[in-house]
Amino acid sequence: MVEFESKYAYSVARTRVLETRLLDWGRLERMLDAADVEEALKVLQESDYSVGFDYEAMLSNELKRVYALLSEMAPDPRLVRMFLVRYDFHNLKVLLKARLLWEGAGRGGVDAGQAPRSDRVPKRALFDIGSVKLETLARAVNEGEVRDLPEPHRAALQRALAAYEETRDPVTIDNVLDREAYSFMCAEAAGQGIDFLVDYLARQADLINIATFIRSKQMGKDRSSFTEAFLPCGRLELSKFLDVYDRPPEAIADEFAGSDYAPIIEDGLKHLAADGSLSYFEKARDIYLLNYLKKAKYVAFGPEPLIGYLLAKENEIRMLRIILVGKANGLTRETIKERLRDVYV
Amino acid sequence: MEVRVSPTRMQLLRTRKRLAVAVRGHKLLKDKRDELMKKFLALVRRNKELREEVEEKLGKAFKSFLMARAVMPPEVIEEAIMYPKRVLEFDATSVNILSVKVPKFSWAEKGEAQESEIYPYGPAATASELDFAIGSLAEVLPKMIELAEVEKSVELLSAEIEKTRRRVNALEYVLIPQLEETARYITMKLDEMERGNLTRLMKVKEIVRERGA
Repeated sequence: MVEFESKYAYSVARTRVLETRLLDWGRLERMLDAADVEEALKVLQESDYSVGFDYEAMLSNELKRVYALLSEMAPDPRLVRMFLVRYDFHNLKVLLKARLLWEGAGRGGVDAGQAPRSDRVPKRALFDIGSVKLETLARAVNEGEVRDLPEPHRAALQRALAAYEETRDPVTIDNVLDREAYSFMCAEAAGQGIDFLVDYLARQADLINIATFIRSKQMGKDRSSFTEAFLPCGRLELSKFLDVYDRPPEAIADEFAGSDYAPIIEDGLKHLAADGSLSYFEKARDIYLLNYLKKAKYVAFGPEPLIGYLLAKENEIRMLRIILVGKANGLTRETIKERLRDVYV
Repeated sequence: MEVRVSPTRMQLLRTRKRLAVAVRGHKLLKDKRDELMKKFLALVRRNKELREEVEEKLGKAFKSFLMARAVMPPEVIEEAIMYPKRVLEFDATSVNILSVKVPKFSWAEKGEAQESEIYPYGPAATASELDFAIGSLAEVLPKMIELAEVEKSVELLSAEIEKTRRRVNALEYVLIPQLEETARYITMKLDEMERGNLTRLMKVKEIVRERGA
């Protein structure tokens, strides 16, 4: 075990330095006070961000940069790769949906028009990061050429296609691939012996499942669609959710009163009753997860600080997007601030 | 106004006939205008209601969409809504309101539609605000289609009213007075000729009588 931890000495030390460069509340407050996007972007000068005119490009470049940096730093490439796989799965969803949408056009389904093959996939929907090359994914989806595709992807793709054949419903694709992505992450985290991450993912899955439960009920979906959207590797079992599925959403608070998430659920439900919006719950969820993540800062050696930094960076990008989109669309300071999560530092 | 007609009895009859037609046409067009106006006002009221409703709902939908956009990466939003679930069959025909062809839209969903079936994405990667945006957009769509129908009808009707009004006015203030003027002119001219003839006859008679004496 000593060896496992000591090989992280270098990358943890570097992460510590990087952590200090994460944006703090002061900086975000200054961005909130900015009159418009340009002014808000100015605050980001002297930060890791390469400030440009297009903030979406800036944020995605930063994401790419962070992943590249961490891949280089991490002693075990599998560590960063498992996070990148999430983006692969997202791209698989896009490619698969594009293909099926196109095929559906011939069968009297949605008319996708006569677009040439390369235009059928909306480029804006694809992430340009991932553990597998985009062309490899595209070849696998469009031509069935799966030789270069890693095993988890291949299995996930096959399962998504099989499920779609049965339901003919695009939601199925999302659901199957989301589930596959989670199973993969959990298995991978467990396989690499990172209990911290296993625990984190379990909590995340639980909280997403709770949100899905409430949203499914709001949308008037039935039990089977909820079951389909239910993410694996959480600690709260599906049967517990289904027990209370026919009761009002408040029932979930009683059902999970003993769990760690009781305060979040209760708070979230209170806001839900007040204005019908679940966004408060989602915010509380993100803050809870971030607080959990903060434990990683006190781990001296191990993969935890790297994971913490990576997810903190993703959180930071999310927060910047909230501020910048808000500023670009003239939202008030309060409206934006209401939606901001928390910072890692 | 200058009247350029030959002052003959034939022309007078023709003018009178034209006048009678013009007066009848004027009355008919006036009735049409009034009826169009009535239909128009009703449509305008409906249009106003619809527009206000649509604008309010769309405003809300866009606001939730904006929030969804703020909390989700653009790639995820694009992915979530790239494959629509419901298929709408749309048909445009036209109906006749007082000889104005106004559009009539009808639409139906292909396959069995369910309230919960409008969301084409899985919940795990998306934020709940997207549900609101999609939900309110789905709610506002039928209203938007109706609004398009009503608004186009209002536009077509108003053009038709404008045209009819111009015709009514042209008949009332130009053609009818002009024809009346022509008729009067011919009558006067004929009378004048009649009088001239009469005097001439009287004069002739006088000369004849003087010679005979």
